[in-house]
Amino acid sequence: MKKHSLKRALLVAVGLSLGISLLVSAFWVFYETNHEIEELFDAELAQHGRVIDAIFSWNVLQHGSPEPGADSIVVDVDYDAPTVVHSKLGEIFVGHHYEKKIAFRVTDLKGKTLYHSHNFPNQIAAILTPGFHSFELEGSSWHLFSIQSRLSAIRVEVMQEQSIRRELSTDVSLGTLLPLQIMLPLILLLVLLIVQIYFRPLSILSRQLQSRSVASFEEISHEKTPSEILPLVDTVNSLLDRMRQSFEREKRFTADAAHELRNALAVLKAGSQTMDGSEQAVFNLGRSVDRMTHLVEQLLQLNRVDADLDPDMGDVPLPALVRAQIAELYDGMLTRGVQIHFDSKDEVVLQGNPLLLEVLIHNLLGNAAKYAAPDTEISVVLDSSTLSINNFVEPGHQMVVERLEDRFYRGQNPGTIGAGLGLGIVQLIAERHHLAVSYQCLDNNFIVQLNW
Amino acid sequence: MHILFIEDDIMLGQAVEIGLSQRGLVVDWLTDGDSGLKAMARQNYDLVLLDLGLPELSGMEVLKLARQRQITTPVIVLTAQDSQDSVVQGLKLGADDYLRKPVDINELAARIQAVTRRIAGHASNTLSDGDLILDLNQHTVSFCDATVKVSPTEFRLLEALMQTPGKLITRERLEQAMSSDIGGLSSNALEVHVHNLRRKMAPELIQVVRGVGYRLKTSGDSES
Repeated sequence: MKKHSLKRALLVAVGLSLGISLLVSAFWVFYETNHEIEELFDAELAQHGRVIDAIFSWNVLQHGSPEPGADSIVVDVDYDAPTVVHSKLGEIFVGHHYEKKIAFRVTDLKGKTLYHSHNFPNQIAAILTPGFHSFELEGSSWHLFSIQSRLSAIRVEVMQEQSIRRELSTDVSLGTLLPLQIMLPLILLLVLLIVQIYFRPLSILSRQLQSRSVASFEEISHEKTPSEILPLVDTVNSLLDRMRQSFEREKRFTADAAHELRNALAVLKAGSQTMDGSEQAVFNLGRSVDRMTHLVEQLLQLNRVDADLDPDMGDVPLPALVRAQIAELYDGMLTRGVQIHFDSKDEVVLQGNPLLLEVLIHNLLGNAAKYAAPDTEISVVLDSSTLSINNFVEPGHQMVVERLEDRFYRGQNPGTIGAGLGLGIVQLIAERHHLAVSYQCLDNNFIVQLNW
Repeated sequence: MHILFIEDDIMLGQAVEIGLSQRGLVVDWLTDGDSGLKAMARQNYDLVLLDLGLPELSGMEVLKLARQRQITTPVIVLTAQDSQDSVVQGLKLGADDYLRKPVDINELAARIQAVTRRIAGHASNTLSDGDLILDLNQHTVSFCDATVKVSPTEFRLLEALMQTPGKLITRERLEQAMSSDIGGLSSNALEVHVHNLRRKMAPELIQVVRGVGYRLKTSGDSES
């Protein structure tokens, strides 16, 4: 799949917008110039008409109209005179490239031509209404202005070729647009440069990430990071941190598990090698397997709890959960002659993950069931802020309360098959749920309290 | 009893085959899902013991295909998977029970017995334990060969306890079982119904675990 490039998109967008605005402004300038030039030339044409009217009216008033029947007089305007005259002073400009070629005609009121410039086309009808006219003549367009004199009985018509106007307006428009056209690539180049400069932090960031080794969880530095990509950097950093934590947990778990599994396997192997078929040997082997099974279960549970950083939370009614776990463990208690009772004074609902809280309660109750002295009673009491589990342990039972949550600590209890992980798991789940767990042992009375 | 056992692990297969044979069961052991499925279709087994983690055709697929082909042989599923999901899915697909590995041969044998007995019981539609017999069709209860008159709520309560005799059942589950009644239950309804049942049969028949729930005393309980 082709990757979407911000830089390229930005350049294309800026280039296109510039191009389009240039095109629009070119048309605009051309239209406006054309319009203004048309007006200017029209005004000039009208002025020419009025000047010619004044001159010829004066002539008519001074000398009278030409005889009826006489030929019209051709007035010669020397448009072909050189525009540059060479003199001792050098080149003198006596004309201009833009000099407009004007043709004119003077008629009497009946339409008879009295005077005309030699370039006035005689195909044009004699009488035209006063005002401006445009028409085609021998393949070129013309503008004509016609007035009826107020000074004498004559009519004046002045005309001018369209091409002159067109040429001028094109020249003016192009003259305006040319600098812009030259600037466009320059502007684009400048934009490219700016984009390159301001995208540098992003390029650096992606290079940094690419060059990382798989096991590198170092934070990405905030230095020179623009505020727009700061949230991204923060997110990546927090992700890296979580990855580092989980990586470390995995490492610790593997180390712990290897140690414990090897021990359990060693016991199994020794047991199998010393098998003499006696009932005691079979029983011992069975216990080793049970211990191994329990260990694997606990390790898997620990790993699951460890790994699940964002469990789904919900309302968990605690009394029902405690009852369900007691029911599950009850058969085991019964075989050891252990009784249990549960006092729930309040209908407590905790916010948490139901499965994790189930594991937590199961482990606490399981511990009580496992370590309770035979023929004693476990007391479980729930009130609005505490769950406490109280059981009697055998008088010889030794443990260091402070070490209970250490992984693989199981006290000095040769009779049980604990892996020493249950309370570590409890601790982990409690932390996730902001619950406090405390243990104390007074006169063989072991008390666990869970507070929220 | 004739059992089909589908398990790809040779060591586990051998151990279970020997263990079950020692307990008087006739075991046909196959190592892949495809031939297992064919055997299920060919022969009328009393029960199928199915491992979920089979290569190629998985246990779940075998179960699904078997049920699609109207093979109604009871199935116990064995799983080494951790999550509850596979168990739930297995039960949804029509498994009758499940066991998590590692399995205890004694427990496995007991479960096989329980499932086949339950299936047989469902055929006649009675639940029984010791002197207590529940007829689920007639809604009648007999205790020590005498018919006991019970209310519909009491019957449902007894039925819930009889599903797993000897197991402690929590208040919540018992109340849920009873509450198909019109209207809600009063807070001490459970105690009242338990009291009535004890009075009608024997006081020690239903044992209380204070604050937790009740269990039906079974014929297997030691006298203490």
